[in-house]
Amino acid sequence: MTGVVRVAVLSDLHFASDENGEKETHVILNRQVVPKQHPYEDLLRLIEDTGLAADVVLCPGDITYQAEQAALKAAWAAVNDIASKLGAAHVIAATGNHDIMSRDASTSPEIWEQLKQLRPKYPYTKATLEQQLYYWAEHFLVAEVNGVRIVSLNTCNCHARGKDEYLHGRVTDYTIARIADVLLQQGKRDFNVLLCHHHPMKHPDLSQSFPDYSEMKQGAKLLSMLESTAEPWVVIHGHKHSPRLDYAQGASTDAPVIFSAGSFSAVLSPAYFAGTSNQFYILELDLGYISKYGKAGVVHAWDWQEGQGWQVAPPMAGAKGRIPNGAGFGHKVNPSYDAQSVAQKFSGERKIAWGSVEQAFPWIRYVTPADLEKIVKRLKIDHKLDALTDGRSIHPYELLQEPTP
Amino acid sequence: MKQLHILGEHYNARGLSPERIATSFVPPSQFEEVAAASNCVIVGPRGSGKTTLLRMLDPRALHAWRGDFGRAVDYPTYVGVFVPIDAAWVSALTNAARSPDVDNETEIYLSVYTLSIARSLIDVMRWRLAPDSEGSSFHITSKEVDEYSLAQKLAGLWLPAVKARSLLELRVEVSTEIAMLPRKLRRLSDSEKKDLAAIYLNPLELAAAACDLFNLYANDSARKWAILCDELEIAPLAIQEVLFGGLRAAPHPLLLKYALTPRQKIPFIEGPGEPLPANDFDVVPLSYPTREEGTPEREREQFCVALWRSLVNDICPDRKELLSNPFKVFEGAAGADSREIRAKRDLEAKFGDAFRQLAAKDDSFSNYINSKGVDLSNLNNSNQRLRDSVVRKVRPLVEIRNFYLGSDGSDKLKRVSRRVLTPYCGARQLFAVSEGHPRWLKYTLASMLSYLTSKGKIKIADQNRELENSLERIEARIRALPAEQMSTHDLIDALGSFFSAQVLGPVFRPDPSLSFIVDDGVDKDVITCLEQALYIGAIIPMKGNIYNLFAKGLVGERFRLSNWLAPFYKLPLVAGKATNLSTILLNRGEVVSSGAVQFSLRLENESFN
Repeated sequence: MTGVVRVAVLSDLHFASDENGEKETHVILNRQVVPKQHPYEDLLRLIEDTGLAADVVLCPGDITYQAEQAALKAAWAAVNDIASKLGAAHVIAATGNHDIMSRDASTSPEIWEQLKQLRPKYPYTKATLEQQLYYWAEHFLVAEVNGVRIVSLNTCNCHARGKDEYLHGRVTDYTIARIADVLLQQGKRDFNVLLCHHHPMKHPDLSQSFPDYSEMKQGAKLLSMLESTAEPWVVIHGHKHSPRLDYAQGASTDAPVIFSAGSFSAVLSPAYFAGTSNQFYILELDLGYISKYGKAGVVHAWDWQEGQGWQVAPPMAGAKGRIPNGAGFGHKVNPSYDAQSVAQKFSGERKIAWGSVEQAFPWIRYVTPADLEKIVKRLKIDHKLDALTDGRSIHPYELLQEPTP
Repeated sequence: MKQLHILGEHYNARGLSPERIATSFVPPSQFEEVAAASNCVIVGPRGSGKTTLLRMLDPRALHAWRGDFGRAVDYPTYVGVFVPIDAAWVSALTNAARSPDVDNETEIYLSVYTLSIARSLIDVMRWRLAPDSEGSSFHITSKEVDEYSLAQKLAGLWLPAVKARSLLELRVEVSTEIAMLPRKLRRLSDSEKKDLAAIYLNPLELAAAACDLFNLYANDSARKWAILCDELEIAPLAIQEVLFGGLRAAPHPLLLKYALTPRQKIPFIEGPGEPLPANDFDVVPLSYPTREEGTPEREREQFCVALWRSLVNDICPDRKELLSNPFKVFEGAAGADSREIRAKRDLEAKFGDAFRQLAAKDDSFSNYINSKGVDLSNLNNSNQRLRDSVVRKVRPLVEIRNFYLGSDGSDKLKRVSRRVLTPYCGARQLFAVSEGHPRWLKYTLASMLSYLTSKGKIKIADQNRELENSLERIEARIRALPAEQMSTHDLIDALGSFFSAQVLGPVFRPDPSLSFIVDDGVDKDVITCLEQALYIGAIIPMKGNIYNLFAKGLVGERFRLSNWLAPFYKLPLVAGKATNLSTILLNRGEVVSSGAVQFSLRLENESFN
């Protein structure tokens, strides 16, 4: 398979019907729409103004707040509206703890029915009956969009049952085994996405008083299973509202990428989310490149802030809490060796435009910002090449040979 | 309910990128003159769009706007370089200059301004060499330029101690130098300070040399560069002197385009070296001097309509078809705002009722109209001379007088206690009140848009509310101006009350005084107040005197109150005769005691109907 597949990600919308949700979300349905104060309407405008497009929209859960029925319907309609404006023929979601009565089933004995009644079909608008039944019975479904396999996993399956299950996600041994079976039956794909709400790997604790407790139980086992397939995987999840781009733990350098999507429109209290913005993403997957060289992708990211609307997510300059626009993922590096390759290629040049580096070493677009920083450091220390940035991109603008004393 | 922040948008173009400015740019009639390949000085009050006009000449903005370029305006071939005055560094340097360790204030300001020009120039040079400018006539293929060598040569001009290896590195060094300069100055010895200052004595000469170098390296030798300097009224005197002196003979390959709000006299060198308007530079006023119908009003109206459409497109793009004609959106006094009626020559249909109503309650008006031989039973019966010299001339006065004066039943004319501002509602009137001032328009019209009915109308009551809010804002701004002996607020009030009495006094005046001349009898305090009023746009200079205004001062010049204030003082939107300011101020007590209103919005006793 060749061609570029664009995967839009909208996570944790937390739409609410009225001002009771004021502290939770920027999208209150009965509130007047004011430009730059409404992430949903602002995104529609951004799409119209800039011609953004995607092939599929993924939504890793929590589209509403505390399972509010009217807001749930409106949010699902909004996600589909955005998909339509993006020209995306597929919308796939994974259920979040706020999309169901996750704590107590006494007032709503069948906690899944509101979701089952959503139209277009939830969690996958183009689901066959078999895919739907799989999701509700086996807690996952497998879809395919332009050569990319997408597994949507319901990590809220055990909520409203068992003690304190609502506090975290869970994937059971049975479900992991069933996913493995299906993957085995289907055979290899160029690229694979696992979509779920809860994070399969703990996030760093905010502080010793605020530990991360809500990760997906058995997440490590799930990741290990995905890694064992020897196929390229990216896990896209929501829930944390705290954007991160990581590799899963494991012995292999080919561990899945963990894409922790920031929230699309939740209110982010500075006490817990210092420096974090609401974010919207389009992941660009070049299947031609991937089929030759393996896992690779680029994240196009936008930040939303009240009063500013959506803006291209700027480089982080060391700050956490956002995924910057242009962040790569997939290509693992050996910083010393890679820096040496770059230096050798341009040996003797006083000024090297970064565009020339990308042309000579296309993989450099697919290294994570953290890895890029390491390569740049080695270029400076080992090869006396200064990387200058112009503030607009996470990549250097140019490399300049250190002046001889 | 969240607080409504209109658009959540910057109202000052300074904070926006050139590309962003281009997306919502609405060219006023003055744009062609500003864009011409010649030196010019743009003059206008705060918020009148000076910064936007200058920033639109930045090639990045022009490139983003290229699809919308009007046929009437030639696409500039010079490279515009926008240089803001940064209030932060002015303040930092002023503090540094106050330090006992620093005594060469002039040199300090010139150093930083030179580096500010350098920073802006480097940004535009980098853009011209980058892929971003591909497709633009300003683009230079980077491979054709030895950037390493160019950067070193430019560093030699601006930062001789620095060995920059690229334009980006030079840009970083220049920014760092600007930020560090106040601290650096404290550490330098006197001789080091002199050495530093010697480099930067003439920012324009250095900018010209830099542009010339770029032209040489880029093999683009005929290219002109325009230095676009904004907010010169807050620039320290040293910078003003150098920049205005440069207008006399701008160094090749520079053009100079400046913007300022006339607040004080500009320090031109007097004598043969003094730059002269029309010879050395054009003066482009952004205010519309007259209120009369005619070309300026049509131009202002066209601009307002275009700005309205841009606003609609921004705020409610889904209804832009419905709202594209503002004359159908803003409800006005019956018939007054309909284009169809305006276009007709049917004076009777338009004004007949108002003339008859006023004549019925106002003997002085009735006598005047009879003495002129106008047939009140049907205004269309008048001949063309009477139509032009009487009916059309007094029509704006009649509308205001008829609306705000009533009879108490004993044949005595009295002021009707009306808070409502109906005569100023409707698109045409609102546009006139706006003075074509982009910031006033954006704020007021955007606020009114939030009251849009489902049928796409904005009711008079809602327009009224926002007009009152606009009056509150202008009053707050006037009150905030510093005062010594006399306050600007008192002066404006004296003027407004005087003009109001001319229009709504017991006797109808067909040719009331609605403007004033600053005569020799006016003292210094009043001049200071006038300068402040001019700065915020509360008074508007009348035709033909813009150059004198900022070169020679205000005495001898004619002004009117801004239309912004017309709804408060119930003034018609016409220019009227002029009276000497000293005469107005002499009669001030008389006017106030005769019952004219004080400029205050405490109108609790007035009814809203």
